[in-house]
Amino acid sequence: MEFDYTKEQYLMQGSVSRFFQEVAGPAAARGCYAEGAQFAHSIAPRLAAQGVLGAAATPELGGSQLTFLDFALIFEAAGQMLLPYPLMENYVATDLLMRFGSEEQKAWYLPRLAGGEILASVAWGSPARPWSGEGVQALLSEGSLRLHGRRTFIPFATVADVLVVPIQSKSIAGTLVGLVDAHQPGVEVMPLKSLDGSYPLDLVELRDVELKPEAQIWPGEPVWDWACQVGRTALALEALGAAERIFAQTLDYVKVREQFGYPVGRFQAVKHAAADDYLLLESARVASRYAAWCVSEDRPEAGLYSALAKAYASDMARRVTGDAIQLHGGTGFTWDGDAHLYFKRAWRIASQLGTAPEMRELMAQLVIDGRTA
Amino acid sequence: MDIAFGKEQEDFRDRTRQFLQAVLPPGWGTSRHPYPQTAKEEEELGMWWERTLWEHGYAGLSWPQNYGGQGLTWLEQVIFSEECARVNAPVGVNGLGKGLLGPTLLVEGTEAQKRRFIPPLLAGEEIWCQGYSEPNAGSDLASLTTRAERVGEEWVVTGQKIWTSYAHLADWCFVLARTDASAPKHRGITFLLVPMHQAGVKVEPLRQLTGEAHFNSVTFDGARTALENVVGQVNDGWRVANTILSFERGTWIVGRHAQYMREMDALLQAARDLPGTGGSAAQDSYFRQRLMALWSEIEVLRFHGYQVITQLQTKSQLGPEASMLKLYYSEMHKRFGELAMEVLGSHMPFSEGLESVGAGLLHRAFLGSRAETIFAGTSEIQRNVIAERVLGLPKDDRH
Ligand SMILES: Cc1cc2nc3c(=O)[nH]c(=O)nc-3n(C[C@H](O)[C@H](O)[C@H](O)COP(=O)(O)OP(=O)(O)OC[C@H]3O[C@@H](n4cnc5c(N)ncnc54)[C@H](O)[C@@H]3O)c2cc1C
Repeated sequence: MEFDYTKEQYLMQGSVSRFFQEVAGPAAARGCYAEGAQFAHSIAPRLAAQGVLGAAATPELGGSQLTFLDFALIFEAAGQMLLPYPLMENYVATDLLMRFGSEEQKAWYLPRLAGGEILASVAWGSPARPWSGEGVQALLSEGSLRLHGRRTFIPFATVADVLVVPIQSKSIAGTLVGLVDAHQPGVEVMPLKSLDGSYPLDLVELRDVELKPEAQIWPGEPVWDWACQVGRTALALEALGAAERIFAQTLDYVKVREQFGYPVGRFQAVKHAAADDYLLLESARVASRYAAWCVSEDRPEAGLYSALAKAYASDMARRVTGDAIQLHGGTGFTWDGDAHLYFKRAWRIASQLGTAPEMRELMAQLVIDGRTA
Repeated sequence: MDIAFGKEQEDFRDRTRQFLQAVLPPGWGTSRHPYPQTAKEEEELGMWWERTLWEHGYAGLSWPQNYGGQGLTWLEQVIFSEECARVNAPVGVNGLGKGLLGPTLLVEGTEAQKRRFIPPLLAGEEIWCQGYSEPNAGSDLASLTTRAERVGEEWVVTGQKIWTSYAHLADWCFVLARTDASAPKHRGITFLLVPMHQAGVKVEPLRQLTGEAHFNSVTFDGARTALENVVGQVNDGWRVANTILSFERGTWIVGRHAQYMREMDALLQAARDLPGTGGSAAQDSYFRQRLMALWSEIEVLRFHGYQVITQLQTKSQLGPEASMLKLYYSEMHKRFGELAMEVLGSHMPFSEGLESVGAGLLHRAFLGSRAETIFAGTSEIQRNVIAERVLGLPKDDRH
């Protein structure tokens, strides 16, 4: 029984954290708010050089063959430093290709994903129901598949080169995942005004876009389910990182800010809020750790526990980052203060890949109704 | 990361299961079983359980063999607690002895004290109670006024203790008493072991909101105990008492998740059987959300338990973060009890009748959980401890 990451995993987190402090952090996040998704391009070469891109790929393909558990603490560090780059999407695309891609797909995409030459995003949309007809449809015409439809909430889509898209096909009766070239004719990306400007989400419209056989992965449903589990767990870890960072800053602040002749951290109302937040943080830490283990080990219950971790960690992060604003007083409400950057991150994460109520409904179907995963 | 238990431990789990099945009466663990109805029956069962565990080699699993323990590790202790909770095994009456006094003696006791007190404690021959709280010293325990004076070769104890669980069954009491009235309040306290069966000790039951009387008022009026029955040094009792507080808060959580999950299973069954808006309560989206939120919290308690085990393997003791676990499980269980009553809806006022309500199990959780946020340090005190000792916020000398 060893319910903890290894020493090596913590060491790697330490060095990546230091690196993230240079390329990311609140100042970089504000840069991304100002410049938009383009900002991600400016840091991609350094992320690649540090080895955090394409991490799940084998060394021949440019990666370092890290497991999800190896990478879990890096997601946490990315959350701490508000990394303005679709790291989770890069990880999901890489691991997805490693597991489900053809040899040709791997050979073409993986070195480029690891080298930061192409930016991958995932068309998460409304993942609870990607096959219910509201997503992207593929029509068979003259022997080739043509895509139609729209997906929303796609991170950094305005600067993406490849989009991983869940697709349904009535004409061939099945589901698939497409590797859609974002620069192809018919692909239209519409930037949305994103609350979390350090992680912009966009809308993509596909109008009669050709999907060549070499860009297809069949069948789509198990691949997509797997991607959602990985994505949710990564988001839980990012939420944890974001919350713990601003919580630490808040503690530092209430220890020095004085009112009524004392540091405000001496007042019990402040103490109790901090204690409750700490409890939630540590609980989200073990919840996301357990989910990371399930995902990394391909456990059959990974779907259940990634949903649990996602719901728990995002509820926690919303509360803790909100308390951070409150406990900073007026400073907490300023643009120059960091609290709002973390607060908006937490809420954006909470909205992605299924909200907490959606996660709990998914869990209820497994636990209460006895549906099998 | 490796969450599985080793083969040795899984073998121990199998043996434990077989043991529990063999000794518990047929039908035990199901809602149909005629569980003890009165406090007296429950206590008799608890006494029987203490002896049964001892006879079969399940008492003091992680305690050293030379004092009657089994010489195993924490892991076996955890597995045993889990398995007991899974089948709703009886609760013994020597929890304070096993959970608090024993561990304290193992750390702070003299060799003679360990040899004298631990074997009969494990055998269920001597039951212990904890004499800390007083009518005017609860959260502010260090303000206690019960006195002990040295008279010849004995200590003479005078004062009143209150909320003393199981005092009516106890043979011994571990008492915090003031031995130096002139010292600052934390410095003049001594940790004493006092025999209960003597003229100077009066025990009066206090009825709890559950209707039962498991706790008492204990009056010491010139009660005596031998000079050597001091644990640690004279006037160093506050530190000795705090050694066990972190045992108390930390170790009790491990295995608890299994008990709570059993209650949750009973609640889910009740939700399937009881009406909600538009179908059963289990189909009602409001209850589905709340049930899964609590289910998640119980699972998180299981993960916290793994974390504790991992730490104990290398650290041997928990620090102030044990307060976090105590706060976590007690507040969660209270929310669980409230949710259970909400699910029962119009059946809520009755704890009998419906089989699915777990033969009163849910009502016991509902009422019993109200004590968990009070005993062993209230939730407010735990939050103070977390804020000051874990998070380093400025200390407030009012506690
Ligand atoms: C079922 C049960 C069994 C028990 N068994 C035992 C036993 O066997 N032996 C034993 O010695 N004791 C036992 N106790 C006593 C228990 O430890 C005390 O009740 C507890 O420490 C609280 O003390 P009090 O009751 O005097 O409440 P008080 O300390 O008077 O507290 C009243 C309220 O004020 C709050 N409060 C107090 N101080 C602060 C502060 N500094 N900051 C914020 N809020 C504060 C408390 O949190 C509480 O809400 C038992 C209690 C119960 C309920």
